[in-house]
Amino acid sequence: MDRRSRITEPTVSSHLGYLLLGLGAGSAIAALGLGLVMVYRASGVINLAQGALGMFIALAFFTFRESGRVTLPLLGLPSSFHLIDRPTLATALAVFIPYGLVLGALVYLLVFRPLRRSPPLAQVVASVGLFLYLWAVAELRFPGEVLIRTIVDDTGRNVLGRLVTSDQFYIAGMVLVGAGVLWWVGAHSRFGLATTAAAENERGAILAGLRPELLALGNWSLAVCLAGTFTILAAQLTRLDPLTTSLAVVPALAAALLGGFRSYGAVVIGGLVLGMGASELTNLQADYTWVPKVGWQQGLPLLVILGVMLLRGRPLPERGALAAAKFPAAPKPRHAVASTFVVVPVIAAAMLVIGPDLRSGLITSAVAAVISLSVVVLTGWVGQISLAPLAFAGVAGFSLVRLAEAGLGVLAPVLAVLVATAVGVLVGLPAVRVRGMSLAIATLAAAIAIEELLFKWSWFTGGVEGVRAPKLSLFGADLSISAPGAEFPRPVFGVVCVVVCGAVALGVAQLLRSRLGVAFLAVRGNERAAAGAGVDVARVKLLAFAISAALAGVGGVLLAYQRQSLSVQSYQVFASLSVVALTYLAGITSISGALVAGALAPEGLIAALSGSTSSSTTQFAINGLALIVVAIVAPEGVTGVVRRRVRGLADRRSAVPTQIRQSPSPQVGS
Amino acid sequence: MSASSRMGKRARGIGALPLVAALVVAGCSETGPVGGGDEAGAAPDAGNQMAAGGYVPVSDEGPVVERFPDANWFNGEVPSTAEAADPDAEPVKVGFIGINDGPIAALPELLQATETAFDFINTELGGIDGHPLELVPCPVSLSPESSQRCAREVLDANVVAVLGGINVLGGPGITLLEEAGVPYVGGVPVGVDEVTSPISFQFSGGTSGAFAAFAADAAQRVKAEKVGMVYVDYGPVADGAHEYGAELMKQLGVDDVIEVTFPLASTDVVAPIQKALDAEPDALVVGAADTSCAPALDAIADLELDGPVYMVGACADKKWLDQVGIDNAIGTIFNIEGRLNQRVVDSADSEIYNEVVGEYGPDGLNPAGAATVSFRSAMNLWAVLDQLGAGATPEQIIESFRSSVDEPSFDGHAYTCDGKQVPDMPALCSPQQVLAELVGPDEFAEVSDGWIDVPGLLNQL
Repeated sequence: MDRRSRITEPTVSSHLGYLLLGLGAGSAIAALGLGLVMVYRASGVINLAQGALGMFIALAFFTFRESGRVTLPLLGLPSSFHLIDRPTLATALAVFIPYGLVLGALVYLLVFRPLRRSPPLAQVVASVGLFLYLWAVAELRFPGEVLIRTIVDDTGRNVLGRLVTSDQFYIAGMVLVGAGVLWWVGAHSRFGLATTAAAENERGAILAGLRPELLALGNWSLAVCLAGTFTILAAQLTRLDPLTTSLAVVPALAAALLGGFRSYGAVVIGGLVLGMGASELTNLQADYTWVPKVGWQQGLPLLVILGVMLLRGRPLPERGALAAAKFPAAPKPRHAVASTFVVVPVIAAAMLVIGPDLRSGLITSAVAAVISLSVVVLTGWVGQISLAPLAFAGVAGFSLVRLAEAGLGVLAPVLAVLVATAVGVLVGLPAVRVRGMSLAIATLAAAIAIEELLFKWSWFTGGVEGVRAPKLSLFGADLSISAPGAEFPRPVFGVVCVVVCGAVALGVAQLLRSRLGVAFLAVRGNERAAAGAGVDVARVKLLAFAISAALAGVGGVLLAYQRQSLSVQSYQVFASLSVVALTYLAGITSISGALVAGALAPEGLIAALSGSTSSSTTQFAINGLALIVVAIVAPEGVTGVVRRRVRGLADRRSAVPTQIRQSPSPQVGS
Repeated sequence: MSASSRMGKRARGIGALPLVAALVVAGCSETGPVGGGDEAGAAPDAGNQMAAGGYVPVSDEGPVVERFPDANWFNGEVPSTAEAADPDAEPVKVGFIGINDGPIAALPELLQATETAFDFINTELGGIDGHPLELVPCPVSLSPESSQRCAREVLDANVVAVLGGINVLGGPGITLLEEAGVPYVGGVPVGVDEVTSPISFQFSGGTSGAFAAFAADAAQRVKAEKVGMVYVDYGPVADGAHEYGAELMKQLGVDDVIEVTFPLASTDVVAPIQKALDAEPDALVVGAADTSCAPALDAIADLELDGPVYMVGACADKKWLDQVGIDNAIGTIFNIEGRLNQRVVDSADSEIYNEVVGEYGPDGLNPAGAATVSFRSAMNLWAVLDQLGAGATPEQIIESFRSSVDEPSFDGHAYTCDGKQVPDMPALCSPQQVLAELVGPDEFAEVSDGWIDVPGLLNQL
C-alpha cells in the first residue's frame, strides 16, 4: 500500500498533547467570543448572528480571492460585482477589512440601533432573524464550492507525541494578541474608555460630551470585522459551511459567559478551555469505557457552564442605558371562561366539517399555541427568558413513548408531562441566581445539553430503530390522528387538540388572575420590590419554570400524537428559538399572542388558508428579514399593535382626553 | 494540508442541524465512484464514466434503446425498438416526496432524475401496458407536518406508489403511507422510518452496509488484528457503526477495535483520528461525511498508517479529493454500490443511464451522485409495474417487492426485499457493497472480490 511516510509515532498518550490538538478550535471559539463581548459592552446586545457574520465575510473573502468579485449580502442588490482580476492576499485583506467594518456598521445602523431601547428579547429575536437571513443568503450567494486557500503556515510538528500543525499556534497567538489589543484599547485609549463609560452610565456619558451611539457603531464595526478576520484565518482549520460555521457562536457564547461578558482575557481562556477540553474528551472516551461516546464533547462544556452560573450566580454586567427596556404590558384576559366555552365548541364543531387542509392547519396551530403559551407564562409574565421550550416538548414526547411501552397506558401522557416538568425545574435552577440575558444563555446552553446528552441517547430516542408514538386512545375510544382507511387528519383528533388548547389557555388565564399570577408579574416588574412585598422570588421563578415546562410538555405530548413518528431533529435548539421568536412577534405577554403564534406556525392555520407551502432558500431569507423588521416596528408584538390601535380608536370615539382616561383593560406590569 | 473547499448546495450535512448529518453518512454512502471502467474504474464525475464493456452506443441519435442492439440490461434484453405510451390512456400515478430547495438540504436532481426516467419510460418503453406513468411530486420543507401534508396529497391523488427523494423529518409522512398501505420506494434514506417501515423498499446499504463491508475487508482480506474506528456521535450512525462495524469485526476475528467518536457538527477530526491511531491499528475506518470528509483526508494524509484507510463513498467525491490533493488521498478505500468493471456484469445499464440523461434530462443535471439513486429507484419500480400491469394495486406492488429474491436492480446489485438483509433495517433490500481503492486521478480499482455479501455477514451477528 502506497501511503504517506510516517510523520509521528502515534504511540505516546499524553493528555497535554490532546489539549494542544484543540488549540486551533479553541482559538476560533475565543475569537468569536471576543467579538460577542465587544458588541455586548458597546450596545448590550448578545448577537447570536456573530458566527453568521464571520461566515459570510469569510466566504465572500475566499470567493473574492478566486474571482475578484465582491459579494453583496443584501437581497435585491446584484449578488456581486467584479473589482479586480486575481487579487493577492494583501489585496484581498485590503478589501475585506473595510468590508467587515462596513458590514458591522450596517448591521448596527439597520438592525440593532433601532432596537436600542427595546427589550433584550427583541434584540435576541432580531439576531435570530439576522442569523437565518445570513445563512440563507450565503446558500444563495455561494452555491458552489469556495476554495479555501491556506493563509497561515500549517506545517505539522511533533509535539508531545501528537502531530500539531503550526497554524494552531499562530492563530492562538493572534487571538491572544487581539485580546491584548482589545484590553489595551479598552483600558487606555479614549475610544475604549469612552465605551466603558457609556456602557456603565449612558446618561452620564452624554452629559460628558460622549456619543454612545457613535461608540456603539465603532464597536460593532470592529467586532464584525474581527469575526470576519478570524473566521478567515481559522477556515483552514475549521472549514467553512454556512450553517456549521454560524453555529460556532454557541461555544463562543459559552466562552463569553465564562468571561462574564466583561474580561477579554477570561473569554480567551474560556474559548481555549472549551476547544482543548473537547479534544481531551476525545482522548478520555477511548481510554475509559465509562466515558460516554455520544454527546459529551459538546454537551459537557455546556453542563459546566450551567454549573458555573448556578454556583457563581453573577449576572452579566448591566448597562446603564438611558431607559430601561421592559416587556410590553401584560393584559389581563377578560371574559376568559365565556370566550373559551364559546370559541372552543365552535372550532371543535368546525373540525367536523372543514376540509383536511384546514383541519391539519388548525391542529398544527392548536399544538403550537400550547407550546407558545409556555413561553408566554415564563417569559411574558415572569420575565425569565427561556430559549428551550421545544427541548421540554421533546423530553415529554420521547418520555411518552417509553412510558407507553412500559404499559402505563392512560397514565403515560401525564407522567411524560411530569418528566418534562422535572427537567424544566432543573433547567430553571440557574434562574434563582441569574436573570435577563444570562438566563437566556443558560437556557440556550441547557437546550443544547439536553439535545447532546439526552436526545442522542439511543435508549431514549430510538437509535437505529426509531421511535413511534402510541395511538391516542381514552378508555377504548380511538382518538388518534390517523387510522387505516380514514380521512387524514381525523376530526376527532382535531377536537382533542382544540379542547386541550382551550383548556390550557383557560388555565393560563386563570393563573394570571390568581395570587401566583400577581406574584409572577411582581417578579417581572422588580424582583427586589417583589421580595420586599413578601414574594418568595426564587420559589416563584421555579414554579414558573415548572408550569412552563409542563405546558411545553403538554404540547410535546400532543406533537407526539400528531406526528406519530418522532425524530430528535425536530426538537433541536433552532426550532426552540423559532418558537420563542414567533411568540415574541405575535405578542409574548398575552394569551392572544400565543394563539396568533400558533396560527403563524409553519404548516399552521395561516399557511393552510393561504395555501403557501414555499420552503425555498429565498423564502427562508425573507423569513429572517421579517423577524428583524417586525422586531423593530412592533416590539410589543402583533397583538400588542392591534390592541394599541383598537384602544386608539376607542379613545378617539370618546371625547375624553387620552391622558386622563383610564385604560379600558386592566394591565399589570410594564 | 492544502487548500480546501466546502461542499456545494447538496445534501448539506449534518452540520446543518445535525439532521442531514446522517444523510450523507447513512443514506448517501454511495455517492462516490460508480459505473464503468476496465481494470480500473473512473470516478463518476459528469460525463467521465468510461464506456461499459462492450456496450458502446452505436449512435447518438434516435431512441436510446435503439442505440444498444442486442444488449442486455437489468430487465432482460434492451427493447429493440422504442414504443411510446398512449397519452390518452389513463395514467398510472406515482407520487414523489422530497426536499427540492431550502438551506438545509437540497437535491433537486433527485426529482429531475425521476422525471427524466419517467420521460424515458413513457417515450421509449411504452409506459405501463401503454398507460403513461404520471408523476405526482410534492416538495416538503423541513417540518414533520409538511411530510404529512405531502403524504396526504399524494394519497389523495390515488397514487399506487411513492418514490422517495430526500425527506428530512419524513417519518410522519411515511407512517401515513404505511397506514394507507402504499409503498415507499427508493430515494436517499435519511430517516429511521425509511429504513424500518414495512412499506419502504430501499436499494442501498446505507451506513450499515458500508461499515459491514469495511469490517469484512479488514478482518478477512487484510487480516487486521487491531482496527481503529472513527465516526460521528449521532445516534443512529453511531449505533450502526458500533453494531455493524465494530461488533462484526470482533465476530470475524479482529482482536481489538478502538472506537472514537466526534461531534456531528464538528469538522475538527484530527484529535479523534490521532486517538484511533495511538493504538497502532492495522486498519482505520473513518465514518466522516460531508464537510468533515476533507479534514479527515487531510488528517490521515499527515498521520500515515501502515494499513488501509476506509471511508464512505460520499467522501470520494471529486471536490473533496481535489481539495486535499489527489496524492494525499491515493490508497484510500471507499465503499460503492456498483461494479467498476461492467464486463463482469454484462449489463448496459450504466451506458443507457448516461444516454437517457443526455437525451431526456434537463440542462445541468449531473448524472453522477444522487441522481443515480432516484433513477435506479424509478426504473426498479417501473420493472415491477411492468410485470403487474397498469391495473397494479399498492398491495400488489408491496407484495411484489416483498417476495423479491435477487431481483435485478438498475445499475446495482440485485435486491431481495425480505426484510432480513440487515438486522433492524428491514427496508434495506440490497446492502451489498463493493470496495474500491483510489489508485490515481479519477481512477479506482476494486479491492473486494466483486460484491461483498453484507447480508451474509450481518446474519452472523
